[in-house]
Amino acid sequence: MNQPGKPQAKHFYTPVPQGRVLLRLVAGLGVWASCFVLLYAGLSLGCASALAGKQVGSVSVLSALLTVIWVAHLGALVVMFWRAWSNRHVLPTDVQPASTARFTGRLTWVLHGVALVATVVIGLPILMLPACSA
Amino acid sequence: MSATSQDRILPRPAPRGQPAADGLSPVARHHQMDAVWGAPRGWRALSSVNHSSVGLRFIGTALVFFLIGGVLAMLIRAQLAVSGNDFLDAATYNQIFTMHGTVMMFLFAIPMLEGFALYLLPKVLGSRDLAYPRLGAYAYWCYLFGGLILIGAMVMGVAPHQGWFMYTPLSGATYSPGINADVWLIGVTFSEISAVCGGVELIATILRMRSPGMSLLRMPLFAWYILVAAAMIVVGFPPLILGSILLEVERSFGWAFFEVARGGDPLLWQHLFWMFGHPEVYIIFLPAAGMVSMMIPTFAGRPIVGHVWVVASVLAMGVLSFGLWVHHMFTVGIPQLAQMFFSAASMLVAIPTAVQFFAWIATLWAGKPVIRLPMLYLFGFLAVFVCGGLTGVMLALVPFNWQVHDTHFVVAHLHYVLVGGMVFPLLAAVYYWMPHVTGRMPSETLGKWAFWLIFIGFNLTFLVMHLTGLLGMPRRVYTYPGDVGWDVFNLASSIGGFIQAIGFALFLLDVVLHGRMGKIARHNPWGAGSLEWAMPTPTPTYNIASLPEVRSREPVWDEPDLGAQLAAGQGDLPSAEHGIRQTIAVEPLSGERSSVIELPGPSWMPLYAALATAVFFQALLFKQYMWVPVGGGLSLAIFLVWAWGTGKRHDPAPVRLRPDDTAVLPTHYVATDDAPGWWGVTFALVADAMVLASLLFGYLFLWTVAPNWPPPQWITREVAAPLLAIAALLGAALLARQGHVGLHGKRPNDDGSGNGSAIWSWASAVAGIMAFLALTYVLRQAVPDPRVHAYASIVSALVVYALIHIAIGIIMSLHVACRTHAGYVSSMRQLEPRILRRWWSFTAASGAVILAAIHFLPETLA
Repeated sequence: MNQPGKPQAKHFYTPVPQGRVLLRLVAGLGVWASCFVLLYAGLSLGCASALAGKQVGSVSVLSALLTVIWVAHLGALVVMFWRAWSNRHVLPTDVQPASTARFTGRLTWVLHGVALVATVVIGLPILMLPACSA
Repeated sequence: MSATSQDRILPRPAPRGQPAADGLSPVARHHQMDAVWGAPRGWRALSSVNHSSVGLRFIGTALVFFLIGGVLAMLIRAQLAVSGNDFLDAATYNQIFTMHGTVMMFLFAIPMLEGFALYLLPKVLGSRDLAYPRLGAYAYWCYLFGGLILIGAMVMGVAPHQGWFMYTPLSGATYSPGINADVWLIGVTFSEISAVCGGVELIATILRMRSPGMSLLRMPLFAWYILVAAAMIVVGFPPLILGSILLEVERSFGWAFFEVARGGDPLLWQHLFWMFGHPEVYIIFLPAAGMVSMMIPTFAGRPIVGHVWVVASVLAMGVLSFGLWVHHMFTVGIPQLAQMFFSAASMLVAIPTAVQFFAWIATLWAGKPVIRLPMLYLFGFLAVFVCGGLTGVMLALVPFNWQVHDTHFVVAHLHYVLVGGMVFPLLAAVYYWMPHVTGRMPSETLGKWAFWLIFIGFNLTFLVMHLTGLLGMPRRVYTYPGDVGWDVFNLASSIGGFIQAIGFALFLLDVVLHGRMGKIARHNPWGAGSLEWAMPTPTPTYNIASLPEVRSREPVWDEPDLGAQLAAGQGDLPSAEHGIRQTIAVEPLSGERSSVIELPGPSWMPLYAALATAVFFQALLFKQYMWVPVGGGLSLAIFLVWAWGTGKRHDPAPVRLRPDDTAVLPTHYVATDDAPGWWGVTFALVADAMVLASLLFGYLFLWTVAPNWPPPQWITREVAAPLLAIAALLGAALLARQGHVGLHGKRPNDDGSGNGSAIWSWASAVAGIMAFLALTYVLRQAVPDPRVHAYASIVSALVVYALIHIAIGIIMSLHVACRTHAGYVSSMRQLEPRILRRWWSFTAASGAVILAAIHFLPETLA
């Protein structure tokens, strides 16, 4: 029971799952950033290492590795976008009021879509250019 | 205002509709509020921490720096007007163009926009102040003192002269032995403290301090733009802060980071600089675009078209713009594929920019636009910035970039982007919000004259300059021969520059004159819908007499008499009879009320702390190293006194939202998650993590470019001390965690204090001391002399980073332990143990990463 003027602590402790929702909004862009950093770092480190000239048949090992990184990120984004898109009419339970839930839901699939397109674009050069030519 | 047994712990008070039951008239309420929120007068005004005072200080100071930068620009144009000119010699010219860029970027653009954000945000959000009023004031003083270092050096003739991006090796000790480069490194770093403090404060304010009901959906676009720009500051500024520290340490103490002969590389500086430098363009553009997004719906008379797409574009720009930095480095010889990654990202970022443009145009198209004075400047913005954006896409193309790199084409492009993207919106914003600040209207005639002079002068200067660049004129040359065909274009640019200057003079004249002679502005003169226009003009110190419940993004369009209702006290917290500065904190997504924040009043602490920080930086600049610990120690002591003065020694009762209603909210002292300090520490740690990430980037970058790196003879195989350090750090983190978790089970005030928690804080300090000693041993015994090789330098820098964090952690542990004994901590007031826990967690994680990088990675790399 509450004492007058001295309510229990639990009434005042407000956990903030909302931070998670905010992070979910930009998660797709985070995957894009991860792809970008890993591609650039992988290329730079790969060109400075023994991987630089290695070939299996006519395929450069480094280019193949970069392609794997790219495709893995694309796969994650396709799944994220698809889930956000197919749930676009379902209101998330952790966001109130309903108007804001609709807004964040819509914003989520738009941003995941943007991240997907951006990831496609930045990775395409891997298929077109040799990895380490200056 | 204490709670009674009938108090309902509900976030929602009775609906608005009747004046507050305290019987105060709007005028009496104004006087009551003003007595609590008013800024001191006379010389005591320097202690004011109110966001309006601090914001206007930023704006005024940035304006002075703009005028200084403008005069420097005129000197540059005077020199380049004709070929073979001897108006300025090469050395003076170098100082002038360097200072023009430095002043405009660091002392005008960012602080001016932060000033606008600090001034406007609480008003737009319907709050009474920012999250950390004293931190905002400290940020201002740091900015002022840092700027004065730069301007003082220029007056003394020892200004930096290496270009505003200070490329190494020119800026290294060998080629720039004087104090000039140090002035830049220290002055700019000092000012950047201000930007990062401002960034943290703005994020916390936007997420938590809005009007009740202002959900993310209803949050004005200006806040979205500032949120993204502030997050970019927090992430984007640390690489340059780190780069400046490394270069200064190399110059002053002989460490090696950028010197090829000692295993470093000058390109590391370029990477660190542009990791900051390119996002900086968007950090400047976004707040200005946010102001545009507030003004265009007003003049179109309708809400913005495509709101969700605009928000998505802003967020996308904020992230994508971090993938562009290498496009400033296309000519330095990195692999073609890497160039293509950055070229692709550079072109991509044009798309979200264009989405915003189409949204603005569609809003005007769908509405009934009224051409008032600010709108004229907005047309100037739309035209000029689109041209700058298009030349930006041209520069994103690698082959074209190679052709025009370091020519006047790039100078023209960057001015189109920055003046178009920032200065024109800023001028529009000054006219738009001027009545809000002064209660008077600007002169339409003078304003129009100023616009056309600036617009024509600007285009004459910089449109023509594209051609000068395409004809091959390089940047940063103090003169040129007469037989290369550049004379006519340069003369035209110079004439344009002076026409522009006359335009800016007229604009200033209008601003100064209107304060005395302008017509009194009627309420909401532009017919805007956003919350700041529900406030009286000129705005009172407390912004708003009672806080409204917001039901849409344009609350003033919904309820034109909202201002009168709020002045009559019909919203939340209409009383200040308790003498406390109060405003409401909300949940970030829903905008539901969550607590009442009590804010500090005027304080001299920010000024004292900034003066002590100035002693620290000046001692570094003039190499008076015995004064460095004095300045640093004084700063620390002041911060500790400052921190000691916060908090409560008892569990405060909940606060009533209205005198006539029983609904109450807890204060921020007991609602730990809502406390401003919690959010500040979290975002400050993000900036801190970026410093470490940049340092690790340098470590890996040097490995990829420097030969024989890391040198095998210096790879340390010492294992015991690093493992001890990691164990001690983990121990400190666990102990601090226990100190916080242990509070959960305790009943409030069961023994008058949280003394049990203090033991854990003391213990975490002891563990921290052990980690400090172990790491000091690593630094002294296992790491070679940092002056010998870049590997040793960067490893030492990593260890010093960890040591600094451990030292701060120890001080924090001791502070929290003492505070707990003094009664500032209880099961309800857990903020400080919670912050301590987060600090030690971060320090342990970063320490483990650093020790792994030093002791395990090199063997793998080798």
